[in-house]
Amino acid sequence: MPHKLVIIQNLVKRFGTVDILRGVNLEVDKGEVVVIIGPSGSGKTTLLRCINFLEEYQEGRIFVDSQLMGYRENNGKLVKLPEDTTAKMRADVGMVFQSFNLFPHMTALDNVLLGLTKVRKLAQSEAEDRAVTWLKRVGLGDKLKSYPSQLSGGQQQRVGIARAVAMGPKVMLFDEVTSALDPELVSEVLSVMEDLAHTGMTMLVVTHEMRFAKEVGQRIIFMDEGVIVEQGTPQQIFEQPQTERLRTFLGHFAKTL
Amino acid sequence: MRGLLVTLQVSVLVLLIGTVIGIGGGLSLLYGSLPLRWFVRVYVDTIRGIPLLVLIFAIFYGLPALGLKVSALMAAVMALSIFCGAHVSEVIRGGVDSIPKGQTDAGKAIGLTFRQRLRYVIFPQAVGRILPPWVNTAVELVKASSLVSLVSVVDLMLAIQQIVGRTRQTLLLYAVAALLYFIINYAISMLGQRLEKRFAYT
Amino acid sequence: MYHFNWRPVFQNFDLLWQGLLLGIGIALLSLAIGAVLGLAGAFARVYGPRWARTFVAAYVEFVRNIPLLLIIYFVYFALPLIGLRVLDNLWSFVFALAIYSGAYLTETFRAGLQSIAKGYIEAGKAVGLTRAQVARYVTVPLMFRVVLPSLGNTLISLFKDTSLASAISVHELTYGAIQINVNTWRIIEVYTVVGLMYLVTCYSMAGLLRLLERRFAVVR
Repeated sequence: MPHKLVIIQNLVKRFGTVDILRGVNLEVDKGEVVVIIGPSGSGKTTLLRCINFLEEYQEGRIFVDSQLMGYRENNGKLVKLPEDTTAKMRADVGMVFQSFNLFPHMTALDNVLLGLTKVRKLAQSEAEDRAVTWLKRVGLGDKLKSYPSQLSGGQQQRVGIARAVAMGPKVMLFDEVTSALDPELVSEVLSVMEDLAHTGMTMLVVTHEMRFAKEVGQRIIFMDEGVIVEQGTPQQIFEQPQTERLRTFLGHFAKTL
Repeated sequence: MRGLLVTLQVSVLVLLIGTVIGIGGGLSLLYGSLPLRWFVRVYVDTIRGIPLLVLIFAIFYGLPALGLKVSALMAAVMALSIFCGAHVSEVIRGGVDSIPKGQTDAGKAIGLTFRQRLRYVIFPQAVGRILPPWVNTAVELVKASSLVSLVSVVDLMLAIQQIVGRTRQTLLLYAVAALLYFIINYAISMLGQRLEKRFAYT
Repeated sequence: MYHFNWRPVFQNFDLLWQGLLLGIGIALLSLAIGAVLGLAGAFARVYGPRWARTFVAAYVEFVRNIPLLLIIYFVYFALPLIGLRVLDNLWSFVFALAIYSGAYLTETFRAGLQSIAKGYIEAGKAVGLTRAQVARYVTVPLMFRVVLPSLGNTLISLFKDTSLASAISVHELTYGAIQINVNTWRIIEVYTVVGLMYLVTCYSMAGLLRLLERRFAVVR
């Protein structure tokens, strides 16, 4: 049986009195590309942010490669782990953000180097080799010394991808990474993501890009109001939607599909 | 002129002490425990809600009444430092707060610890945002130092007045004083602008 | 041990109260005069001829870099010597504070003026309004809404600055504190009460300001 890299059990997340995630169950195999779609407010981004513990959760369990994220169990209760322990866990989960979040005071190369030298504790030369390799892989070999302010949105996002994947994570999380891009810059980012998928990286992608979901996704998850409503292969989801909610949602995209 | 020296010395000393207090205060407001944050908040809001002169008088007259003998200079420096500390706390808090939350997220995402995030992500970006208001605080401080003349500390302001008392050259001497203050503060602003250019990122 | 005795303070409370009211009054008046200066200065900076722009810029730079105390002394002691009408201490202070606030307000209004999207002004012109009418019906009203928070903060600052009036014996709140102190030596009590009075006034002003902002705020 393929190794379950990410296991999410009965995940509940509340913010004050509002339930954002109401019991999410999900298992992701190693090498699987899972695409999460759904209307805004459905909790897709929150789900992603819980996986690398950027958001705390109140109930349920999240395991990445058998490691409970952010907590330890004490008689069935969740006890928050110290910040530094969680930090180490995050090194194994890569995240790419909608607003890029590149460090503006560092060059593209330094952005990628920071995690390699300070978290993975690689030697400078080894770190540089890795960083340069990945920046070249995403097509930015000539922009190593450029600052984020000198790069286009698409270029910045590709640096963001390089920064995350150079760390050698076990799973990559993509949070609507093309939503903030001008349309003509979207495809360069999507093709990098597609290449990554073909190398066998385990990916969880939250997106509105339905064509990407159809062509690169292996499993599509449809979320609404904090729960997974339907899931299946791209063919099942897009051509034979079972639930009314999914049909309504897909109706908005009728023109682009 | 010795008065000028006193003004400069007081300003520099207070700026140093006040900045140290301010860094402590700012970091407390940002990262401290709830009671600590509450305490610093009350300190900052109180100091900013009363005139500096009242603070100076309160300390200058109040401490001896409590049995603590301090020189006028010390009392004045204390009051000014407390005042400066409150302002710098706000400046630092505001500067760090203005850094987009996504930066902390990105730092966390690649596995940096809290200390590492502060050192490599937050601090470098905060400096550029804190510098202009901090330089402004320095300028305000030099101006505010003139208030120590009202508790008999012989700074530039009082020195000028003493000379006016002797020579009656009122207009000329006040003009000289204005020019001196102007030169000092203008120089500070210019220096500040040079520093700001070095740290601008966006 | 210090023995607290609050009675002398409260016996003289009317002294403090009147000082407080005077302080508020001075602040408001100085703000008003300063606003006139600031408005003129801002328009000069943005629309005026070269000499006006330079003059205003110099005024602003100069006043903002020297202590308020110096301006007060200058107006009260130095100006009468060159024949300027001998003002009493109160009006000297108001005048000095107005000059001081005028410099800051020039910058405030200038920023407000320049932040008004050209679109509004062009719309005004397109409808056929003259330049003066555009200024009166479009630019200035919009600008006031934009600068309202700054104006409010300036008022609070000016109110705190009124404490300096005590240096030339104007009977405002701080002077009242000094007087009571000199007579009764109840230092801690006096300054606690006076400090609280300033605090409460400043926060009330801030609260009022927020209410006003909510009513008049520009939706960006």
